[in-house]
Amino acid sequence: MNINREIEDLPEGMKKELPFSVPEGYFENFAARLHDRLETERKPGFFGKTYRILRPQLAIAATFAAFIILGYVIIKLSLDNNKQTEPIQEYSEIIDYYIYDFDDETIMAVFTDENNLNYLNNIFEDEEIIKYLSEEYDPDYTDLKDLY
Amino acid sequence: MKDYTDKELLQLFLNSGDRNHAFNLIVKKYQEKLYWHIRKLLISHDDTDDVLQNTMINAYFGLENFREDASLYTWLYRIATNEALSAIKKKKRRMFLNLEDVRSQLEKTLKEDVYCSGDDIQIKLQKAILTLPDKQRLVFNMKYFDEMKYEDISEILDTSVGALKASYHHAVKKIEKYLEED
Repeated sequence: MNINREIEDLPEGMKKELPFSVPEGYFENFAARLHDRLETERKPGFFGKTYRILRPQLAIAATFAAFIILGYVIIKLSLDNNKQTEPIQEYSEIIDYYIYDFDDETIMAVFTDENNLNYLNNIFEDEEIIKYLSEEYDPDYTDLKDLY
Repeated sequence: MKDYTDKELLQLFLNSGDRNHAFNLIVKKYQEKLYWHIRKLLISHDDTDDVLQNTMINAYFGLENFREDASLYTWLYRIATNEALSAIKKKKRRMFLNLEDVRSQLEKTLKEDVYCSGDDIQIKLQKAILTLPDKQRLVFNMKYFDEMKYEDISEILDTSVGALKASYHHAVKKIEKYLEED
């Protein structure tokens, strides 16, 4: 493949002139227009001047602020993580503590206290039970009496 | 007007008390070359004018720190190229355009801009060039229209000579194909 030969071949029949033009006097006036723009660029306004003077200090302040925010976020996140694990640790400690050290009475006490089931601790007489059941379901009283 | 070398112009800018005069000489020397370099990429005269001004302003503020390991000519071309490519990117972003839309936008400018005129063959070639990706367009323009050496283009675009030759070769093939089909 002869690249150079192909390069020579392309322009055949093609003009190397560009189909572009410029406004009259464009190049003659360009330097003057550029000079005016340079003057404007070199004379920044009040805010521009202040910004240029304070830019290094602003950059340092921004870096510090970024570090402080980053530090705060990291500390906050780690504290939140600790808070989330606390209850789990508490439960596991309670389980460890009580798992081998309870009996039926303890369980009953816990359930009745927590679920307002104190009536379970009451001792009922047979008569009272039969009366309660008969009121509730209206059974044949004679059958029940036979059972007891 | 005396023809100053780049080195002389730089010395004049850095060491003389009248920087404006020295910079004016630099502008006069390079304004046309840079204008046409940018114009071939942006097509519109107004966009080219903006980019050329930005190029010169960046050059003015950058000349103080200019290191002479690159020539002034290469350095200015590099600024102009970067400014022109950023202008295209900005336009894409601002108008939510994709590559195809940018192409048709540039084609529209080619038809409608009062400072775009030429015969059918010139317009046809420009349309063919617009089908190329931006970087390939850049290489093609620099080689074909400006007749720059690959070594110089390589320095400006920071690309190897081999890659530039390949890029130009692909560009030529695409343009040939476009012209045959059209």
